[in-house]
Amino acid sequence: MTAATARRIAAAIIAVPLLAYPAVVAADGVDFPSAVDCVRKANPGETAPLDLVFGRRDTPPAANELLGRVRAVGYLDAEVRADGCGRWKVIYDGITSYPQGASSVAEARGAGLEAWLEIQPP
Amino acid sequence: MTVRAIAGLAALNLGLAVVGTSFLWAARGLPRWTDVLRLSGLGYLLGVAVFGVIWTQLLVVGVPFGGWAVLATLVAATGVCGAVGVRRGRSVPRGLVGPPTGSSLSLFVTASGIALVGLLLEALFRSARLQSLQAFDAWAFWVPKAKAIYFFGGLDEQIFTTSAGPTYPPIVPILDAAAFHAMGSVDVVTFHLQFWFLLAGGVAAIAGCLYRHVPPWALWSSLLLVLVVPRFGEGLLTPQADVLVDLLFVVGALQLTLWLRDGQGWRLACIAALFAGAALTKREGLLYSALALGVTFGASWPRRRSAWPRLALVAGIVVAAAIPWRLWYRAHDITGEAPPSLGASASLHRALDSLRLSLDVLFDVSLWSVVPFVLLLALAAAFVWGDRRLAGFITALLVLLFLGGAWVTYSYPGLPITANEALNPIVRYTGALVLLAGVSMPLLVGSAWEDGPEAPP
Repeated sequence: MTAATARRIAAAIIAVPLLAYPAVVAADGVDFPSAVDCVRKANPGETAPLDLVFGRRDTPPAANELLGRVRAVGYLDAEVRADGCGRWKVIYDGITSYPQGASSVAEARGAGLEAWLEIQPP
Repeated sequence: MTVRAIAGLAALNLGLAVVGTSFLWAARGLPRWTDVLRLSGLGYLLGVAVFGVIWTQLLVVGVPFGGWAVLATLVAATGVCGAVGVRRGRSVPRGLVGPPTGSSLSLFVTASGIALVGLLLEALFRSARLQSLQAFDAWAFWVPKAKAIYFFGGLDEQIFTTSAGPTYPPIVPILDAAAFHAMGSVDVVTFHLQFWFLLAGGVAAIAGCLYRHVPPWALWSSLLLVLVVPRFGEGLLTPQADVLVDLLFVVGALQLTLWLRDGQGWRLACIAALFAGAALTKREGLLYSALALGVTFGASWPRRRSAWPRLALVAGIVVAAAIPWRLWYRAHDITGEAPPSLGASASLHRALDSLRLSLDVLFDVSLWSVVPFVLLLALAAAFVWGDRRLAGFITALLVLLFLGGAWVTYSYPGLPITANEALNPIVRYTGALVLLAGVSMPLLVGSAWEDGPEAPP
């Protein structure tokens, strides 16, 4: 066996399993998570505990700036929390039911804010 | 958890590898690209150590930590190493394929070893990228310290003086903070991959350093055995400092062992950087480094005139790197790194209990599988058929490390005599000893193997 042939066989011994394993895993439908996975919007009639969310920002200063705008329209108990996916969300957690939450969403939007209801993280 | 976060981490670690490889190029020279590839793991660990040591000193003097500052450090360190290399007349690597270094069979064994270790690392990557922050010490103080550096740009006095383990050195929080900048956020899920990179780099460093000195079957079987023992298998990606300090120390000790054989001066530069990194990663790092250098002083007695001044210089660099952090926490009225009275007031009864505990932990197969037993066989083989000087050096180092662990239990009266990791650090401490055993086994077996090790270039 020539040195070049031996090198080719050695390269195959390394490459085949190292490429085959992730290929098999990928073919099995591996999921690649993203920051969106931390957003769990509530459907109408949702009975799980809910948060009123005003937005997400990449940094605490940007989230605090949004918090200031939210508090300025009357949500004094709103606060900034890490969302578990590397971002910072501004929320109000005093929602007791979906109908009350939907009403709050409408109020917030009327005041020029973006807002929606999310299921509280576990 | 995003591709962008993973790409950022990969870029950061590539930067660390470039720093360390340029350090290696300046110190040793890298004539071929195959040398660069073979020693890239060592280069990566050196980059981690150099980066960590530099930033520890910068944080102590109050230089603000940030993404651009991290980038500037990597560029500046690479530039300085490159300038030193040019000044020393190092040539640019040439040629992808080196001269044949063994039979086809040994080439296939090496390829199989790389494939098996690679598969293990691929599997660990899958679990690391989605791991949550569960380890107590990690969420209790390692990560909060990293967040303090990330958000406040330095050694925030409140966090660093009131968190648990206030004397613990800051390299791991520095690396974590750099990882947060590289990922673009405090993503405490994806940042587990930083520890995957440390592991992969450490494994590559060990394999690359041993490759030309031991038979491939001995190298890869030992490496695989050590990587899959229960204690390492479950703790390799834990975001704490234990794995990093073990890797820095063991690769440094391996370089010391090889230096005793071949006397190549570039190894001492690597040892100084690695041990300085270990001393600033965990408190044990200083003890490990002192023991390894102490044994080497003894082993180099026959050529002490030339060897001792060099070893003293290495020891001086390690101490000089370790001092500023110690000054910082002492200036903030923090004490407790060393045991009270160095344990002199404890009883003989406690000393015997401490020794018995260390022995029980070392030979606990549920922690380390058969590694300690294989080590004893390898030592016996080397003493009978192989390099007795090598076997003597490794035995002395392992015995001193073992006694060091017993001394830790003995000298802190508050530590109960138990292997419970929440109460006594002896299991973590013994990890370095077992990893060193795993790295030593191929050298010991190789020296007894009739074909003998291949000569280093």
